[in-house]
Amino acid sequence: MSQRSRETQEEHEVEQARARDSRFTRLYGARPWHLAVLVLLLAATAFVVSRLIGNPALFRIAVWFVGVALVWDLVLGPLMALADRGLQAATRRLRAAGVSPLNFVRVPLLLSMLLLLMFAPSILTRSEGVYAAKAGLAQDVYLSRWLTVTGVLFGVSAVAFVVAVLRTRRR
Amino acid sequence: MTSSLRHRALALYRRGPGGPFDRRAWTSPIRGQWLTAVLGLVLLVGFPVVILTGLASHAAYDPSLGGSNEQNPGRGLLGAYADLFAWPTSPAWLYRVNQGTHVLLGLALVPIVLAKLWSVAPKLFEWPPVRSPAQAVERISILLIVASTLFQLVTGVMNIQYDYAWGFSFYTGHFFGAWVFIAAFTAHVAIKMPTLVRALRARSFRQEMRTPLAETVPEPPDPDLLSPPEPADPTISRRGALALTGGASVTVFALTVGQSVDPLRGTALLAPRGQVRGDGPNDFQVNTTFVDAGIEETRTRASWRLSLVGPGGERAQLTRGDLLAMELATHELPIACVEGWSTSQVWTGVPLRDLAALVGGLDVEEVFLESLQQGGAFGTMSITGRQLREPRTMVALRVNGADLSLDHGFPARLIIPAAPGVRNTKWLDTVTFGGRPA
Repeated sequence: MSQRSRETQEEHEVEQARARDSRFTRLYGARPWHLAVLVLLLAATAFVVSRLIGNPALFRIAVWFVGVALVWDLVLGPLMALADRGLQAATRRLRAAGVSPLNFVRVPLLLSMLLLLMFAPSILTRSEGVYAAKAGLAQDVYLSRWLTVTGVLFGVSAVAFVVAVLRTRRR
Repeated sequence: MTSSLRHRALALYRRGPGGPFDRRAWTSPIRGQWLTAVLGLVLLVGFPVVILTGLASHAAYDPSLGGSNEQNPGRGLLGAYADLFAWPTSPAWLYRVNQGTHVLLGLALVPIVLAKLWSVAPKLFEWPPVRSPAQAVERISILLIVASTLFQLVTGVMNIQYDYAWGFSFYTGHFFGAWVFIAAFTAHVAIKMPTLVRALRARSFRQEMRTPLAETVPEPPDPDLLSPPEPADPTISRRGALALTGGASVTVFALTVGQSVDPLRGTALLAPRGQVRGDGPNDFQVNTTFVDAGIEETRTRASWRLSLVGPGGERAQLTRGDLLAMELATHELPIACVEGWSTSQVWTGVPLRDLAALVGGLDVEEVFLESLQQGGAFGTMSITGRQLREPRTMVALRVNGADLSLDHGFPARLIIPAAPGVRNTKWLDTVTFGGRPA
């Protein structure tokens, strides 16, 4: 085979590969490796689940696995968005020297709610009995601790708001 | 008639169900690939650390010893790596740092995860729900990464607070959940890496950090449809949103780190082990109180004997006085719980290998420990030959110069350097060199 025809042959193969690729890509919607990665992921997940077949915990694990995602996506996330819209509406017309109080409420509120969400078992004394048995400690201290932290967050934010207002006034 | 119905149905489908499925409902002007990519980058650095420390913690139980060391008998290939080596005994802070990092970092990443989920929320309500096979498969992978991340965070966060509402073993859920998470995280990184790099390059981080609210404008339209088609006026800048997320992360860290750093314990206001117990020699954190262990107090008194059983059936029985009369060693060693809290104390006791020598048990590869505690998930426990031959491994009798309190394992408890706290069996009754008696 001459040099030239070999090159033509190679070019032809590259073109063919491209055509194959693009036909796949057209039908599937992404390059083949995309599918390969996702097939591997599904295979890995199936393998993990197979290790739990016959284990009575499997059903409950599955319920919690799907449940936590649903609760975040369809309950807590939307609630957070709604609360934020409410807060925006409530503070839309409020201004002190041109400074909106929105973020000075939003930030401490968000932090406080985050801490409540993360430490709810302690704050709401959901595991008082086990906690006392294991750690030998009382769980009822956490509600007042969370309220204190919340108070400090709002307090610091209020001071920051006043400082921001005074600064704009001075200008 | 039918054809007009079909047309109407098609038009309805094209328009979508409205509400969150209408892209115009998503108006935040700071949503876009750049913000998502910055948050993704933080998780890309943080999650591997949480994954590796988690896998290490599983190995730290030396699960191949069986019994209560093996919390996941069905682990098979997924846990095979843990059988390749015996957990080290040095440096003594190994498990303390490992587990403190796992739990504290995991907690600090919660705000980042939630912010990232917020940043991509419009994608959950895409319409039409499926545009190509590739997108359909990718949505399944997104479900897996979101669900497994939240599942790992929720089970971890609840477990450290003793809330076992799930009705399954934490060890089982968190271990198998971890493997789904590892697979989903790896796949997600592989697929999204080009997008992440492109998005980060599209805007200068420094420039973004200098852009105040008044100059905050939406990102240009992107193929992921994150940037809003009809943006509202900004109420927070991108740097403000990142500062808020980072600030939340720092707040969580500041309110928990003290449970793993003794002098800071009182600052860990919301951490389960942020309560200071007092300043006496036995006033440090307890896991499983004496009352909870359900041991009759008389069994810890003068009649108590430590029973030693050698590999050839040799036996010895020692009173607490016998033990105190042996050559004692004193070491400062940590108690570090799988729940992430830890504390370092000064223990005094008899090196375990000296006791092994009494019954010819120095060369065994497993030591089986039985507590006076009957039942309980960890009433019996095994340690490896490596831990036996570690000179600092001891049967502790005293702590900080005082006798152990009942809560801390009086009359005698095991202390092993670098191991999970739960392996330091309290209220020791029988030590069998050579493993579990048949």
